[in-house]
Amino acid sequence: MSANVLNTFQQIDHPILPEASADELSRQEFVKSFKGYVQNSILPGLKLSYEVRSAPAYAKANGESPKDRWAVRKAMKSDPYFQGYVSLQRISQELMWRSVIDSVDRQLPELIETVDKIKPIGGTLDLDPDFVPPHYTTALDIHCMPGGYAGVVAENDVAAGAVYDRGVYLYAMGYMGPFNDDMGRSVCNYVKRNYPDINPKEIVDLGCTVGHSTLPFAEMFPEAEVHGVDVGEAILRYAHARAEGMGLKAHFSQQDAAKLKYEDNSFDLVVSHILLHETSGKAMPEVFKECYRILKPGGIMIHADLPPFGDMDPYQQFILDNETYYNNEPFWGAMRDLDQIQMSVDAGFDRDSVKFDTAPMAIMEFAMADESYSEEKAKELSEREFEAGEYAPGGGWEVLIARK
Amino acid sequence: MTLTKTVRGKRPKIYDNQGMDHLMAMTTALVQEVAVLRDRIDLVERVAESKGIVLQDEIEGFILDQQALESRELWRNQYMARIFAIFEQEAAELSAKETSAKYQDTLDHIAKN
Repeated sequence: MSANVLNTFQQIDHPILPEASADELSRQEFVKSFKGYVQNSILPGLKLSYEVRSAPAYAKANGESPKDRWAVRKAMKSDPYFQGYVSLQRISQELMWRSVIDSVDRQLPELIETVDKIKPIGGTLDLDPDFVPPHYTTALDIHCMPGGYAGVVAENDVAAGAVYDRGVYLYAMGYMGPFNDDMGRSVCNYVKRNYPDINPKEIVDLGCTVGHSTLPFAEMFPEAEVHGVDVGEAILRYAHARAEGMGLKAHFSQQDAAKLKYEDNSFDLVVSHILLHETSGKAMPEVFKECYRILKPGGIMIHADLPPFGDMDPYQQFILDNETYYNNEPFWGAMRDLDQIQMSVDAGFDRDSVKFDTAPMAIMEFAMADESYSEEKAKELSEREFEAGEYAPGGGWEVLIARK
Repeated sequence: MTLTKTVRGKRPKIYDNQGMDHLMAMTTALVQEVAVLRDRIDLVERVAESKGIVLQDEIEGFILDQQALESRELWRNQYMARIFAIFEQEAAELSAKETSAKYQDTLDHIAKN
């Protein structure tokens, strides 16, 4: 079937979300469409260029077919189709951030003022003036977001949060749902369906950025106290304002997920969403150890992130690994080579409690509720066959689960 | 302007000739700007229509008078001259028999004289 779903999904407004002028919105909408076009219409031809041209040429020169993702990269690096594809992919990312930065830059003073005007509902913000962000968050601007997660450009700054909130929505081409919360919502659904006994009272979301994945936990577990941890002052200030503005109570705190301030045995649920691949070889096992330490006995750790490469086809690995080389994701490929099951065991979890699973995307629920997601479009979306390199391959989020 | 727009970290060189990387980035940004202009025209038509003026029909049926035709022709020529100025430069150099060697000679001459 056609992979082209006519995507007009829109993000829902909230008090701290930056507004775009007509031209800024057009730039942003263009990028959203452009990313979809590159994935749906340009990416498929890449496999042809590999099979028809570059793989046979490599085999002829080397006496064997490319046997791993590095060999595929070698075979493809000079392929004109690959160069065109990866060039457009990189440029789409650059245009995306710039299209958002313009609108944030223009209204930053008003956004900062808005923070104080939002009616408090009881959530908290705990910033640490002496906090030094971990080196892997500042060595490069991760996924080419200018200024990075920890960037601060003004007093009482919220800019990085505003840029991220809007940028992530566009990056996900709307598939993150109108509240940008599909990952968190999908994990919540997964917990409710698979662990109905857990009834969490204390929940923490590590690497929460603007709290977009954190808030579904506050909504779907209203009895629980929900915490969010991240490294950036501006994104956390934004996250706090965003949560209060959306009427969902959460407690945001500036901490390093590898060295948490929380006491032992204090959480029923420790979650993260696309955090691990943005840590480092040294930090990731420490994060797992911290998860084990702060969990109560019987508590659950869930990381929604990238599954290991394992025995995935080298071409598919190569496509996914483009993020490492072309999108400032330094740990993306290396992280997928790690044994996350063993890492969980080494952190203290019982091997029998550790597994990978798929949490189906919750967007289907929005699809029925939001008029911009017609039933027909929702059906098309659910029936799509996803390919490596596309957003959310398989139509679900990969989750690593372990129970203490 | 307070926010950074550039990205920390070396941008990958995708093509053998880096000029091609530049050209791809500029062309794609232009594709985006054309879409922005197209959206704005679309918006003008829709705003007008919401006020009872169906611009699309008016536009299709509009006859350009001689003055308008001349004004447009002039604008197009000035526009193309701006865009393709590089060829004007090259033609001028060919006409004046400019060469890199001649440029270097000028540098050497002026340094000493």
